[in-house]
Amino acid sequence: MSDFTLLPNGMKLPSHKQASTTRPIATAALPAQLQLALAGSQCCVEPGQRVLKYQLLARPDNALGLAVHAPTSGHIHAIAPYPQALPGTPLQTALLLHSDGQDEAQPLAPPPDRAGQSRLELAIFLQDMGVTGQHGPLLPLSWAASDAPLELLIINGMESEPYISADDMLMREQASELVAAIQLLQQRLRPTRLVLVIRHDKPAAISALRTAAAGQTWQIEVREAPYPADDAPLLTRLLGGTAETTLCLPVAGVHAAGQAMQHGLPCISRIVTLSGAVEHAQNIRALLGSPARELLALATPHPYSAGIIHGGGLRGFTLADDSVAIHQHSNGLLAAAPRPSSSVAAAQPCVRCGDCATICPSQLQPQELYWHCQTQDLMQAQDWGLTDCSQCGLCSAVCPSQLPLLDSFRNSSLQLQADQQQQQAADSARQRHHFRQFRQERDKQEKAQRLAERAAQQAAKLAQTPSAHPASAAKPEPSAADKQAAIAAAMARASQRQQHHQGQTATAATAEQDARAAAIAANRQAAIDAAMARAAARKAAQDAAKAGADSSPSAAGPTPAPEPAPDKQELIRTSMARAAAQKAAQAAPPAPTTMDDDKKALIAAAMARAAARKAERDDGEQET
Amino acid sequence: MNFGLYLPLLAGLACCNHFRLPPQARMEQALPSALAMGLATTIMLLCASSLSGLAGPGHDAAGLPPLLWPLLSLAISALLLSLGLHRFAARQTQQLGLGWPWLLTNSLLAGLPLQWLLGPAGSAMQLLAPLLSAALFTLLLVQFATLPQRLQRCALPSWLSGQPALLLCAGIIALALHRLGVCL
Amino acid sequence: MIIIMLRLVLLLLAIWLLGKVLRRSAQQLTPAPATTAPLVERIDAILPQTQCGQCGHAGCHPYAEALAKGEDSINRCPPGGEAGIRKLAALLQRDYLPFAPDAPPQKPKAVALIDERTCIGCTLCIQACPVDAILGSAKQMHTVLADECTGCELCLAPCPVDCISMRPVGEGAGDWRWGYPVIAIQPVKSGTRP
Repeated sequence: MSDFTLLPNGMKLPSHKQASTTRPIATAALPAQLQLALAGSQCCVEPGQRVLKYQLLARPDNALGLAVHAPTSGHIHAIAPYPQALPGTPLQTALLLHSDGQDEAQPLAPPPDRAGQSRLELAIFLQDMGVTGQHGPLLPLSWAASDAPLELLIINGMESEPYISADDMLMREQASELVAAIQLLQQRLRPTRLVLVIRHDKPAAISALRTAAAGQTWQIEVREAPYPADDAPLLTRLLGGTAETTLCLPVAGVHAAGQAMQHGLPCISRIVTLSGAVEHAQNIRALLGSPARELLALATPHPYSAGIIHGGGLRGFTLADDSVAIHQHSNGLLAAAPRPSSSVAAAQPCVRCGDCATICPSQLQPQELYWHCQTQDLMQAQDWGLTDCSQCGLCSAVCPSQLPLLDSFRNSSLQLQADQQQQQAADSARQRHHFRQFRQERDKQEKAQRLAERAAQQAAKLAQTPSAHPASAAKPEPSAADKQAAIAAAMARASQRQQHHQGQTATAATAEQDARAAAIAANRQAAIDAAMARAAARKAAQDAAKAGADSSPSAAGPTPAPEPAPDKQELIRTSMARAAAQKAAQAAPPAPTTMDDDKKALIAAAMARAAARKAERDDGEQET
Repeated sequence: MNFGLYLPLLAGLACCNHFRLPPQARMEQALPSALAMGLATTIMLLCASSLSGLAGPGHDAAGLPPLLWPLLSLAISALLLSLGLHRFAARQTQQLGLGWPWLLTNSLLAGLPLQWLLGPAGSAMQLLAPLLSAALFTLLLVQFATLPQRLQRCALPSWLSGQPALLLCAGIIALALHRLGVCL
Repeated sequence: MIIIMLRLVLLLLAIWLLGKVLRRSAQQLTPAPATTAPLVERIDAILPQTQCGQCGHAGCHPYAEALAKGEDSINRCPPGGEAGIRKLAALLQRDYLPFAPDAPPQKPKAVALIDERTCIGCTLCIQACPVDAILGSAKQMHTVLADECTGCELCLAPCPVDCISMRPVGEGAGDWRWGYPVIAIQPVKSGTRP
């Protein structure tokens, strides 16, 4: 801690980057199996299928999802839930790809015509190529679909997190490709101003980029800024942009976008810094989905190292499971040195030193925020700016009481999101409930109005008719009788037809359809019978319960209760018998198809289950 | 009168000042109002001590009672300030509750005992004492303005939350200041 | 003389500061404070809007009215959970109360699911649903809009064939959150303390 020099709103940290920048970027050997998480994407291959390198494995299915492409050729071994590189996460569905070592690639589709592409088309193309930005696709679809002007495009090469040097090495070694990618983005997005901003501690990358970008119209800015300078809102503020008209893209994403736009190459790998307690700290280009432990083994971790830290020195977290796979955002894997036992002290109460407030780059009051996060008072926490917290982890780093500030802010901000979603759901439920009440009221009124109108009409008719046709006053009665007669006739016809059909079914194959319909109707009838029986049983049970409750003070409880039970049982039994009989009757004709059988069996089973449950419940009630 | 009574008096005065705002305004405007009132008190005490300093040698000769001139100077400065405030920032004055009755009360209650206590002391003390007491008064005002928020954190039973808890805190502060004042 | 000068300087400084404070507060106070909604609406905004009637009232709004009149206690809403009770306690300036012993137990969030093979299309559940989250018509199969279902269980009782079941909403990858930080407790040796 002694070598930390505190700066207002930020912190000069020991960068620990020299170790990993001495070697060029190596390429990791082909791992035996790859694990590709399917967050926000829909899988379009099946287990057992052979896939080629670059083949599409999953399509994005929402605005934040990304396409997944096969990093190498092999067989899909399984699609199952696997642990992922985030602490305490539930398992997430992932593809397990067993590589066959041949690395056989499918021919690349040529990139679409560049000139006529709108920025939404470009964003969707990059999403389909699996190019990731800070959250989801490199160019956010919501931004691309809007017509917000783009005044400032920032290419973010700050990389101020300690230990991580992946972007640094990328800018050193692939400066010309990066410059080409930036040029393409400039042509397509046409920002008013385009700035590539680099931190001052990367002289080699700065000189490489300066030579590569000679004659370009955009500018390279070298900034000397303390730690959380790679935070997009901070960087936007630093370069004098506004949040609405500025886009901040990471260097790695821009490079991948350039590969996709120039050659149609999907993003299947990324550069990962291997550092920490290792012999040969270095950067490697690793395929997405490679297991973290295998990758870190390339840098020969010290035998005493304890666990793997995913991410940088401040924002990183220890992986619970070493075998998890790296993903698009894994910029570094650090072998953790075991902490001396003296430094692992329990958190002390807050001493109100104010160091966290001094150092907070978002100018918040972490100690106040911590109070409210501790008591889960999210309203207050929101008032104190929880949503503005960039979760840089500086407050935790400087806290003399070792309070878990960062962890509580992470927890609470997700809790806040969940609460907001819940509140939205509650609001929509309230709206629907109000509408339902309104609708019921309206229906009632309309019905009353209709009745009133009809009554008025009839009154008017009655008032008119006696003068003209004195005999027609009794008209409604004959019409009702007519109707009843018609209904009786129809029923007779129907029963006749049914008999006719039953006679025919044994011989005629053409009547199959009608037979099936009749069977379904019979089933329905059986179900309704059963339902009625059950309803009767329920009513009887309720009556019995009421009777029991009434008579219980007089200690004559048990006598009236058992009485309704037998006839209820009987009812159930009769209904079931009826159902069984109908089933038998239907089983006799050869026509019924398997589907009907299935359905019948299911319904019979459900009824039997329901009856059993009811009987059980009744028994319980009787006992009580 | 001694400091053991004067300092608790300041605490009580600050508590009363907190309750002068309407309840719905107490949350948002408490802090600016407390700051404004503290600064106003500072101005009034300084102004009054200047006035009495100007007239210092003369008032004995005029044969006035010993405390009448400080009383007059305090009242004059309070009324002058309220006039100035009303002239230049009438709306904010009204919103922050800086009416003339409160200015006058604060000025008299905070200033008069001080004149009594100090008596014809050295001029350095004459300069420092109003400043110090005004600073303490401001601190107390700010304390009471932020107390309700901090009290919300400690889940108090409902019969104690709100005004009773604040009064209890005022009592504790007054007691502590009494001990401090006795030691002075 | 120096004392008088000093006094004057301090006076001017104080006046300048007062001006600053007044100007600052004028900037802050210019937007007029929003008119506060009536108490019933504010209580209703806290309630979870399941309209389940577990509180003994016909829905969330009647319960909110009863609370506003002080006729009911704040610990009768199981879907709102303890957080809901705390919010109500803060709003109504009452003490936090644990759940009433006779209140139904809290359940994890669930949505109704209609077994489509058993459903006979009686429309009883449609009439019971307080938020119109069940679709269907007479003698046609019904189905539940899972996104709109509040899990109130009001459709379970009227169903004549018991074809509706409650399915708990599973914890997916989207529901993940950072665990609340747990502070490790270190054992203290018996001899270290007097």
